[in-house]
Amino acid sequence: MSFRISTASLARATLSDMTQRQQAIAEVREQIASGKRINRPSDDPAQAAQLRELDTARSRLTQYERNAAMAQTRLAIEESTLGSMGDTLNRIRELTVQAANDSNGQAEREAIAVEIEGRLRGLYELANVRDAGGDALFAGSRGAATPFSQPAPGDTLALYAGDDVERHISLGAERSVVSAHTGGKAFLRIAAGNGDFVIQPAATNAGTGRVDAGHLVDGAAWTGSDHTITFISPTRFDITTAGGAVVLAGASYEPGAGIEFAGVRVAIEGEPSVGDTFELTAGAERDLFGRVADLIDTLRAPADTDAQRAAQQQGMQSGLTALDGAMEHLGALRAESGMRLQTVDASREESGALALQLDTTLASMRDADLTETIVRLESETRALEVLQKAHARLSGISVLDYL
Amino acid sequence: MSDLLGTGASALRTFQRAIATTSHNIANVETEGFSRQRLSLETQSPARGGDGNHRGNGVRVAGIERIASDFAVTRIHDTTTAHAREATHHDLAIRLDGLFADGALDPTSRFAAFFSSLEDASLDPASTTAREMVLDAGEAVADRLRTLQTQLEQVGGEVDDRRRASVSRVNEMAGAIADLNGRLVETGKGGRAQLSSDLLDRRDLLASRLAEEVDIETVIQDDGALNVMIGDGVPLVVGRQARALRAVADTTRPGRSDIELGIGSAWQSVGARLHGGELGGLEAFESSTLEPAMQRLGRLTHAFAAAVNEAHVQGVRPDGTAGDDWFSVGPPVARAASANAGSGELTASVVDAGQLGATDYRLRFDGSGWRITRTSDGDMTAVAGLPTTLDGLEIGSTGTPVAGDTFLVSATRSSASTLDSTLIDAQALALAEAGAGPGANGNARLLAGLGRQPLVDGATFAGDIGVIAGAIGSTTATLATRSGALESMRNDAIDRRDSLSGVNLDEEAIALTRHEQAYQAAARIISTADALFQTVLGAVSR
Repeated sequence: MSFRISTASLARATLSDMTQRQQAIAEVREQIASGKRINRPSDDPAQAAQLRELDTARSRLTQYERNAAMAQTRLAIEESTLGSMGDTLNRIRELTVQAANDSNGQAEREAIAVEIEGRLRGLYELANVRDAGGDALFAGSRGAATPFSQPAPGDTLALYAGDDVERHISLGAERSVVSAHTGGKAFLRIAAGNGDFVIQPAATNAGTGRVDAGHLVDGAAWTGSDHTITFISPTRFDITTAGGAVVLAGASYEPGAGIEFAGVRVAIEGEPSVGDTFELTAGAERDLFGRVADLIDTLRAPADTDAQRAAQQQGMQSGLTALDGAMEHLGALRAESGMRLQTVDASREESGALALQLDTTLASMRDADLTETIVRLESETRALEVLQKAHARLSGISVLDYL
Repeated sequence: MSDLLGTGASALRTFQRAIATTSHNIANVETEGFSRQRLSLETQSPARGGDGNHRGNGVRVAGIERIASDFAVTRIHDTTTAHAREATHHDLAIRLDGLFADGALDPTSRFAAFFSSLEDASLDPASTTAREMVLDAGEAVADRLRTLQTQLEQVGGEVDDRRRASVSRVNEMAGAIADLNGRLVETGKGGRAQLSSDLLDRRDLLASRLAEEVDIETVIQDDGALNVMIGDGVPLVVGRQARALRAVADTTRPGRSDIELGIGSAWQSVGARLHGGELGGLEAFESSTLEPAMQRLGRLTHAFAAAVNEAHVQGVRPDGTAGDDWFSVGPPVARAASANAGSGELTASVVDAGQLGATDYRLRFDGSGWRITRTSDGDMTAVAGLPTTLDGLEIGSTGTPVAGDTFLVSATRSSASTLDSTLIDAQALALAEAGAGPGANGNARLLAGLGRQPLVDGATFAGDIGVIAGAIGSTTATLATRSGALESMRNDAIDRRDSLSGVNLDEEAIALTRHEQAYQAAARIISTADALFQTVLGAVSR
């Protein structure tokens, strides 16, 4: 049976084909205009879903990069500030050594004291450093106020308006870094003396005995408790604990010789009087500013009598120990900051590489291949033209033309 | 002689009719649904002559054949219905697809900006600027979700409008078919063969237009009337009687309607029984594409607000006081069906946003207990009494329900339009962890991290949007392919019918020529008969 074609069928078929071609052309045009292969979810549902995920991951990386930049800035400020403070302490040390020279008189010591005072104010300024946003670095979570201020006259402890809350900055989903040490940890809670204990003559001592910084010799035997060395005579001393227990009784005194007890070793020089005591305090802490203030007090103390001169010498010696302790502490903080900076650097490098990868993948998935698209546009357009020509010819043919 | 004239006259008459029929075909070459007509000719009854021979008496029209096939027409109905359903569904799905197109109303970018602003604030929590940007970003999330919901509801409104328009068209056409049935039966008295071809064509066309609106099945009665059933066997037209459909607002789901059939003075719900055509496509779109999208969006809204609030109240503000709730979402709504006989009312509240399902809940009181059905998957739970807790919702009742009363509890369907960011003051943001000062960022980091957590049915907020968009994109793509294929099948069916019944101008033109020639030849018979008569007259005249 031959297939009969009605006039209407013919027209309809051509029309439907042309409509399809036009639709295809419209789709290709949209891709060219937007530059994207996928303009709506239905264009390619599976890839559209993947694109979303990748987009989300990419924007997260951008955020972490911002975070890392901020962390880097703050850590850099901290490192440089700690460095400057170390330099200042070093200068103060030099001045102290200079002052300890016996040939100096009261006037010279006063001049040095004034310069050290200036340096102390400088230390406060450095400790109160703020980041670009105006946030004080060493204030914990209270960076709006000024963290450190000089104590009222008569007080010895620097005033701290911050707290101990560390601010973490996220570098990744599971990674973060602390962006600055808190003020307490940085400048207040520094172990006094030699790091384990501090030993000092009592202020009321009448003799000229001086004690060194001492050190631990036997960690196992060290009890960590306070002790007192009491001179019962110019040549004999007792050592008792804070609780009253006697550790050593009637030991004989030899100036400069090491005295060992409870795992520590100290050395006393000079001529102590009867009743003079030397207090050993374990685990004490002294803030950084206080150490410098103590030195200034020492330099300004009268040095008329032998005892006063001995006490002043003792003060400067202990002061130097204190400065050394402080500088070591700052050094440790700097090292920690340095490590944190390295972590941030490594994180940034990793993120950078990942971001590059993602960008490449995203581009290949999302962007329309311009060449391929234009070629397709041309072929569709040509197909449409052919259809139009065919229609023109067919609709022109009719038997009525010949009758 | 007279028989010669008679034969000639019969030929003239017949070929005149033939030309008329051909002209009728040509005139209707563009008439949709027209079936070409052809005269069937037969010889006149022969006369018996005195010599015993049967002499021919010419030609006459036996009848007008309507070249048509009921089977071909039915095939058109079937393919039309199938295509219309998918095309309607596709039409509407494309609208939703467009909402999630690059940079349109997609909430993903707003969520990203929100969590990013929290990360920025965590770098400088004391900064008022950073805090204000967080508040702005939060408001932007709420705004985007509300807008998206509005758009979804708008499409829903259009669905309803289209449903009503379709019902109206169905009624019109049913009436017209019933009317045609009457005319056909009257004018065609004497059996089916006598039915008017043009009226039959018109009726077939109406039926195929009707098939665009709903799935139909047609049966021809003995007297020629066409009975039409819609959906799965719902009688719409029986002989000269046409029933009416109407769209009735669903009081439990504002914006949606059900379809009812009028039987006598009562109305019966038939919406669930209609599967094809525009009405079937609208229902398919509403229940399998639009509703799930709205429900999921609503569930996402609840999960987002709850998670952010929970984290926010754990933190402290710069002044040291604990944070307040940040986002608010409208409470679940419980509606009673308008047909309820009792005075019962339901209450519902969200007790665990993380457990919410993306669905409404239909409750039916059976006299002693309650049956609770999830509208999304038909899952049913029976409880002995209320209050009860299900999927993070606590449902209670007041008043006295009567057996058979039904209610709809909706917690997620339109909650995206009720999302609001209630914090206005930058200092009300609790970005610090408990016990810390104004510069602490612990809670800001906690809040920022919420964007990475699978808090909505195992997906992150952005991930859930991706699921919603993905389902819509996938459906749209599939429907495009399907409706394209079905359109081809429909075109095929139309072509088949046309191949049989359609007019071909070349064919008719040739027929016209043929009939003309025959007419001219027949005219010659007359003039020949006349010439013969004149000769006879001439022979006998004096």
